[in-house]
Amino acid sequence: MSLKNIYLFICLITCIGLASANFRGWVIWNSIFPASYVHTEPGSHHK
Amino acid sequence: MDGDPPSPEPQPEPPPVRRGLLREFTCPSCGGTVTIRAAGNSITAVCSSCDAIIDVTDENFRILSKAKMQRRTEPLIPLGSRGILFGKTWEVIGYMERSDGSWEYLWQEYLLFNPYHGFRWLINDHGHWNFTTMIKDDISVVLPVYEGRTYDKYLAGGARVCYVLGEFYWRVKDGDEVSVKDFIHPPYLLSYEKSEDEEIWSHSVYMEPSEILRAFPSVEELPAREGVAPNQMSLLGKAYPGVMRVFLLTLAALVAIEIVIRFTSRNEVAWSGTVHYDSHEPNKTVLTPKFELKRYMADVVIEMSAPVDNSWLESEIALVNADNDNTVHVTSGVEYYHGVDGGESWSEGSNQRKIFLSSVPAGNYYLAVDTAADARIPAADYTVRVIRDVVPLSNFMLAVLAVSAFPLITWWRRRAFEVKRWSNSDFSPYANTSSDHDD
Repeated sequence: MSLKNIYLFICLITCIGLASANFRGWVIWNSIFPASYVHTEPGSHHK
Repeated sequence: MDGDPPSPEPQPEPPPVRRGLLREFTCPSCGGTVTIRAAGNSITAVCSSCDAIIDVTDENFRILSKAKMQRRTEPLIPLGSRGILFGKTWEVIGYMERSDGSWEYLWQEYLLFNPYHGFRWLINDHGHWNFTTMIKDDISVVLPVYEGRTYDKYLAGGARVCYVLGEFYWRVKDGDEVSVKDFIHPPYLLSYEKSEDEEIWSHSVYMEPSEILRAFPSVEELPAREGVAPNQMSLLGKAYPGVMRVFLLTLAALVAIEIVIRFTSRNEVAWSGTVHYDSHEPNKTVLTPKFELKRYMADVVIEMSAPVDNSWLESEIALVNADNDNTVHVTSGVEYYHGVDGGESWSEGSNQRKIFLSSVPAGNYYLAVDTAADARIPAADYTVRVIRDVVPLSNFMLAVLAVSAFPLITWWRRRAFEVKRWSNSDFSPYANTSSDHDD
């Protein structure tokens, strides 16, 4: 596999990744650098 | 490899090819046997026993030179070896060592012969190989163009014959000198040689050592390459134009995807309201009315705007799913300070803040908000907005970064290779640059 084809593959994955991340509301930055000021708790009560 | 490299038929200097036969004669100097492999085409032959250079066109085999030459290296491809290069069989009939005149920088040239196709050269310059053809074209020395390619000037110097072995189609002699100009368009090289009698152009194509080993199976190994040859192609250099094309196409595709997604995103305010803070009720949690987050899965932006002025305000906001109590806790604070220092006004912070929450499922939600603030704020009303399905620019920027990395590395490595290529040239476009990188 040539370097160009490897790069082409990376580009295709990136395009699909961008489209799908935005479609699913995935903020990629938050996954790479999780913010200390945001955390999730399943089933906690605030009532 | 198939077919000859892009080069015309030989050659200004070599004689018209005659289908020669193998021929032997006795050296008039030492009595040793001298073999002629291109009989009828060769003009001179060198006795392998005594190094006498003999005129083979003379019926008495006149000796042209008896000087003992000093051989620096053994031929890597023995005389008489046959190999297939560019789909044609070539026999090594001559070997010549040349130097740049300093006697320090040497290279080796093998004369190849095919009775149907004439002469070619195989040149080994410190482990770098070139397949060379003499050309007749009228080429400008100032700006050489050959077969539609413009060549860059790389070298101007001299070349001197140090040692010869085998047979040649001209009257070769030890110490022959020519001035040389080399021009490159990797993987091609044009050489212009000028002597007192003639001017010769030759066209070379770079060959990988593995191609030489395949062509001449009798050769077991070749010396490692030293440095970068003038017309050597780097692996990344070959891939670079294709990589750049893919990069530009991908950039266009990413922009198109971003535009489509921005047009189709809802960007919907799911809840907007005012939250009251009173310092006398420091532990009071404000609960908002329920609101609906639509769409199966999307991000949420919590936007906070507070009237802070040289003060701060911080909220613990819990986005609670009213159906299953799944909660996302967010600590969001705003602070804004400003003033004048030494006659210069300054400001820091902002009274607004946005926080993106990734992939929040659809459902009914409410906010539970706890507030703390600067002691200078006894009470305040501030705004909180919950916005559904906002396209974060960071996704696009990260995608662009991801696809840019490879072209950037390719460009950098290719440039380092080019710097190294031109480091031996007096005409380097990178004259003020140095690099230790190789490819």
